[in-house]
Order: sequence, then C-alpha cells, then structure tokens
Amino acid sequence: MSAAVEKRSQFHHRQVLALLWMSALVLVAITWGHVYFLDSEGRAREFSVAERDLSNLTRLSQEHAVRTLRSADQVIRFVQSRYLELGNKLDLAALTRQGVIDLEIFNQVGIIDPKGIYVLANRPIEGRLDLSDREHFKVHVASDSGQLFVSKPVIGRATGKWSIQLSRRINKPDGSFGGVVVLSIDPTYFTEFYGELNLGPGGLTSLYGLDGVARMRRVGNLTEFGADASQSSLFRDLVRQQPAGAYTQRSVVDGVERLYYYRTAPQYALVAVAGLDTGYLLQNHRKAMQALYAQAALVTLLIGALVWGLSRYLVQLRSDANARRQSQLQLEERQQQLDAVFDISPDGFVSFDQSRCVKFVNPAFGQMTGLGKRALEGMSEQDFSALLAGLCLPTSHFTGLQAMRHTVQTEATEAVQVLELKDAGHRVLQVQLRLSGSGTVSQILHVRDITHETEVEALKSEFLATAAHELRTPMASIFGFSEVLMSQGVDEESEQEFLGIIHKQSKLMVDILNELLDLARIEARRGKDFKFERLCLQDLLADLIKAFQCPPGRALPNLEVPDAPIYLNADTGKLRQALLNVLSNAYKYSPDGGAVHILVELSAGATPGTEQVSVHVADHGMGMTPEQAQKVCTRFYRADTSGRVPGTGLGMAITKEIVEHHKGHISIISAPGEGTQVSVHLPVYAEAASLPA
Amino acid sequence: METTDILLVDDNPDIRRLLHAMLGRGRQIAEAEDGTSALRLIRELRPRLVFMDVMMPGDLNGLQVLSKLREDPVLLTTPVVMVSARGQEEDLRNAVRHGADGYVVKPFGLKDLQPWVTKYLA
Repeated sequence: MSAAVEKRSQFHHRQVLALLWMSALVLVAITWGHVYFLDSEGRAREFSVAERDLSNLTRLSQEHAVRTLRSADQVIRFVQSRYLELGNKLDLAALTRQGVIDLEIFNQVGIIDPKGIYVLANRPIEGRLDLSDREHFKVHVASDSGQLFVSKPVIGRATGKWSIQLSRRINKPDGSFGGVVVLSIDPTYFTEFYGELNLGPGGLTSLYGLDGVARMRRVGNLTEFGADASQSSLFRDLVRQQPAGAYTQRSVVDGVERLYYYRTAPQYALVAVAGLDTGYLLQNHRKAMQALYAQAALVTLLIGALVWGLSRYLVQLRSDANARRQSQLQLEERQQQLDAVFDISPDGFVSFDQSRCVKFVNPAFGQMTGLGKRALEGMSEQDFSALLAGLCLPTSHFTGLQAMRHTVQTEATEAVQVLELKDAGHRVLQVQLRLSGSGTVSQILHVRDITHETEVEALKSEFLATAAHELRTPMASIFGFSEVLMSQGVDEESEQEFLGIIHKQSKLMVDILNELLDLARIEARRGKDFKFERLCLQDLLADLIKAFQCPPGRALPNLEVPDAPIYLNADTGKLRQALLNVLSNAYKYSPDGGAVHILVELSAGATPGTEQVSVHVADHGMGMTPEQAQKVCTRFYRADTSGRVPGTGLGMAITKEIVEHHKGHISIISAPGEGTQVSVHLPVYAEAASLPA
Repeated sequence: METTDILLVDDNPDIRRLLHAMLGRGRQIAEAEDGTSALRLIRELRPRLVFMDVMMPGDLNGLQVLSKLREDPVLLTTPVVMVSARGQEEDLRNAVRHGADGYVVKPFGLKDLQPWVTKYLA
C-alpha cells in the first residue's frame, strides 16, 4: 500500500474513532440533559403545585384572619358606640354573657381612658392598670387613624398569657381623644385553626404584621408569637411590591428553606404567610430524581464502556491490519529478494509443493533443459520425471525423482545423478534431490550444468590415457629388446642394433617426460612464472638461428626480417623455446631436404591502434591434410606415426601454450606433399601496454 | 611356398623388429605395416598366427582388419592376437567382440607371447 493510501486509511480510522466518541458524548449529553430537564421541570411543577396550594391556603387563612378581625372590629365599634352612649355604665360583662362578645375568640374587652387607665372591662379589674405605655394605646393618642390597630402579641399583664390587642380610638363628640377600646384576642385561636392545616414537616403557617413581627407563627406543632422576620425579603421588598405572591427563602427565623406564599391584608397591616419546607416539598421528586440520576449514570457508564470497548477493538483491528500489512511488506520484500536470487542463479532449481507437484521453476532450469516454466508448473512428480528422462540419452539411467527420494530417505546419502541430454549441445547435467523440512516445500531439485566440467574431466582422462599410452610404446622397445639381449644370444650386429633402439627409445621417454613436465608446469603456473620484458624480435631470431643445431646436411634457415627493430613484450626463454619447436618441426617434417624459410612481417592488430607481428616458418616437406593441420597442437598428436619423424607429439602443444600466454595465436597452412607453413602471431610491444595477465 | 608361421602387423618398425627378434628364431615370419597390407598378406600367406597392433594409422586399424577377417569365411579361423599399449578391460572386451583370439599389452616380454605361440603353433 502506498504511503498516501496508508495516510488516508489512517485518517479515516481516526475519523471513525472520533465519530464514535462524539456520538457517545452526544448520547451522554442528551441523557444528562434530559435528566436535568426532568429535574428542573419536576421541581418547577412541584413548586407550582405547592404554590397553588399555598395560595389557596393563604387565601383561606387571610380570609379567616380578616373575618376574625372584622368581627373583632364590629365588637369594638359596638362597644365604642355603647360607651359613647353609656359611658362608664356600660356593662361589658353582661354583653359578654349575652354572647355579644364571643368569649371563644375574644378573651377580654375593655376601655382604656384617655389617660391610659384601664377603666372598663368584661372582667373585674384588679387594681389600677396603667396601660398608657402600651402601644395599642399610644398609637391612638395623637391622631385618629380611623383604623383598627392590631398589636404585636404580648404577654398580658393581667392574664399572663399571650394576647393580641386590638384597639380603636374613641373619639369624643368634639373629636378629641376619648380613650381606646381594646379587645384582646388569644392568638392561639389562629394557631389552633392553622394547626388543622397539614403542611408537612417544616410547614409554616403564620400571621405577620407588616412590621415583620409575627402575630402568630406555627411550624408543625410549635407555635410562637412575636418572632421577628423583619429582615426577610418579604418584609424588606416583596410586601411593598405586590399584595400577594410566592417566594422561596431560607427563613430568617429558623433557617429552614421554604416556599412561601403571602397575602396581605392591608386594612389590618397584616400578612398571612404559609410556607412549605422545600425539602419536604421536593421529597418525592428528589427520590424520583435520584433514581433517574442513577439511571443516567448507569447509562453513561454503559455507553462509555461500550464505546471504549468498541474503540479499543477498532484500534486493535487497525493495529492488526497494520501488523498484517507490515508482515505482508516484509514478505513481499523477502519474496523479491528470493526471486532475484532464484532468477539469476546459474544453477537450476525446481521446487515441489506438499503434494509433490512442481511449484516453482527458475529461469536457469528452463535454459538448461529447454522446459518452460508454464508447462511445468503444477506438474506431478511422475510426469516431471518422465519428461526429464525423455530429454536424456539412453545411456543415462535417470531413475526418477521418486527413486531419488527413496535413496535419500533410506540410505541417508545424497541423491545425485548425472544426466546426459540428447540435445545438440550434448549437455551434461548433475541433478540432486534435496528434501525440505519446511511446511510448504516438500523437495527441491537442484540442477547443475556440468558439461564443461565433464568435458574437462574427459580431456584430462584422455590426456592421461594418451600419455600413458605414449610412454608404453617406447617402454615396449626398451623392455622387449633388453629381454631379448639377456635371454637370447644375438649376433653382434643385431646386438648393436638392439642397444641402439633401447638407447633411442629411452631418450624419447626422457623427452616425453620432460615435455610433459614442461607442459604441466606451464599450465599449472598459468604463466605466472613468465618473466615478461621488452625484447627485440630480430635479436631473438638471430640468436635462435645461431644456436640452432641443424640436422646434418641441411642448411640454416633463411631469415627475412624488416629493418626497423620490432619490439615484443615477452619471456625470452619461453618464446625462444616456442620458436625453436616450430623450427625443429620444419626440419623434421622435411626429411628429404628443402629450404626452411623464416619470414617476419607486420600487420594491423586486432584492436585499432595496435600492431601485430607474424613469424612465418615454412618448409617444403611432407605437409599435412587440413584435418591433420587442425590437430597439430593437440597433445601427443603426431601427424606422422611411421616412425620416420621422431618426436613426442608435445612440442606444438607447448608452443601453443607459450604463444597464448603471450597473447598471441598460431595458424597453419599446409598441403600434403608440398610443405607446411606455421605462423606465430604476437602483439607488438606498445609503450603504454601493461604486462599480460 | 613355405607356410608363414607368424604375421607381424605394426606401423612401428621397432616393434616389428622386437617381435621378430623374440619369435623369429626357427620360424617363418612375415611383416605388414598397415591394415590394408595386413589383409592382403593374410589372404596370400595364410599365416598360422597373427600378432596385430590395435592402433594403426591409415585406412584400417587393427580392429577393423579383425572385423573384415571374421566376415570372410575363409579367413575367419585365422588366429589373431592383438597387441596394444591400451590395457583397460574394455579394450580387451572390445577386441574380443571384434573377434580377437588373444590380447597382449605393451610393454611385453617373451613370456607374454609364448602362450599364444604354444597354442597356435604347436
């Protein structure tokens, strides 16, 4: 996968993960949002219901208070008018007995004179009660509000109990202050009523004056009078803004948070308040919400766990995919490496799969056998063996792969066979079967082209055989004649003859052995012991001829050379030996005489810019056929085996080796009965030329 | 005409000389230096025993002469012992396959030739 595709896929993967988490987040947000919404909604609903209830309640309580006060006011007005009529003769006790004054509600009624002395009451007054400092008196002294005054709850001096004093100013006919009619009301009258109302624990019913002082305050079973809540928001702000309404506040009196509803009764400067403990109010809601919140938490956890698990899985998948791709790449790379090796290997390989069918065939195998990869792939072992056997000469006994495998398995030796092919190249292949331990490959056939090796081996054997053979022939003479001389008596002439032959053949053997050694040494050293130096060809040839031992009766060779000296890069000794061989042959193969001619000429070399010198040695002797001429330089080859021409048959072979090590070559022109020309061609010494390797 | 006891066939004159020296005393010896002459002389002289070199240049080598002899109903009974520097088992077998009656390996001594002489010239 290319880098760009890889990047895209990575990005895509990240996108998916991001999407997954975002969806999870959204779901969670929705869940919590919903729960939160339900919470507020629930609260609001509870509050609104409570508010409605409280509103109704305060309506009743307010009305009750108002009615009570109105009836109180009526009593006060009645008393006031009767007092104005009767003065101190007014019998309040009688009125009370008559039921005009309802004792159940009002526990005392009386008159306070303008000086503040309690002068009339429906109960006997004990002593002189100075009430001039009481608020319910003082408030009327200065002016006439025309209103009923409702006092804060006080503990009555007379009774020692809580009471609320209701009073009105008595106006004398001239409008001056004539005293106060006061009516005491037991605030517990309200509390008892309110006590019926069930507002739950912490629920509050109260009646406050607009001054913030509770005329009556009841929470549960606890009633108190005179609590100061003037600091609450109700009395600081709300009462002035609205005549009725709801608000939630932590009570300044007892610290309990409540939903309050208030209704003012402005004509009496009172406000009826009812409150529900918010905790109580929201009790059920809270319970329900707890459950819901718990659910929401659970759902969140679940979603979280799910998404987390999912994303982990996705990441795992991806990393697996990555790992897979990594190993895929490694595999491909390895495959490429192997293919490269497989393809360029000069040895042939055929691999077989587990069912012993051909799996892979490398190019080399195809070249060696001419069998195509396409034809072979998938072929069974038997068919393959048959096909291969079909390529061979009848003399190669190819046993087939199965037999080869059997050899390996049972005899624990390598299964190697040599196959001679029928083809034009007479190729010889060495095949070896190797069993494989790996999973997918059962066996591998390794094929080596050993044609050349085989040829070389064959040549070597042939050479050895020939050498041995060549040595046996002179040995036969030496052995045989010496035996004859020892066993039989022969005449002196024959004796001399035989001894001569023995001597001659011994010498021949020595020559053969020497030349064999020479040849062997030249080959073995591969010319490394050749000492190359710059020499002048003309000088060499002159020396050669001077030292040459001409056969008796023969003339020295004619030499025709260019005037300008020709230089060669040569090993003097070896080159002389080579040329000497050629020269001797020229004489040897013209036993009937004739001139021997040496011609030296220059020509262009093989590579442009180089020169070549040719040394032609010609005789007018027996000559050879073209077939014979071709074989001249082979070892032991003797064109004439009649015995007339002495020789080992190795001279030209040695000459050829030497000339080739000088980077030259030999050519021969000959015709039977006419003569032979042997030419040695050598490169001319060039200043810049390096030593031949 | 005197019966030719032994015909010596070898292109190498020294070998012919040697064989002659070893076997010639008191016997009628003929010599040939190539296959063609060998055949001719065998027909003409009907020697009692032939020692023939295997490796001979020219038209016919020793084995070829042998083959030709064995094709000829008249000549096929001629005892022929091959002489050769090659002493491998397969050379022997080859010679026998061509119809040789015996085989001698160079270098040889009289004792190597004697058994054949005894057998065929007794």
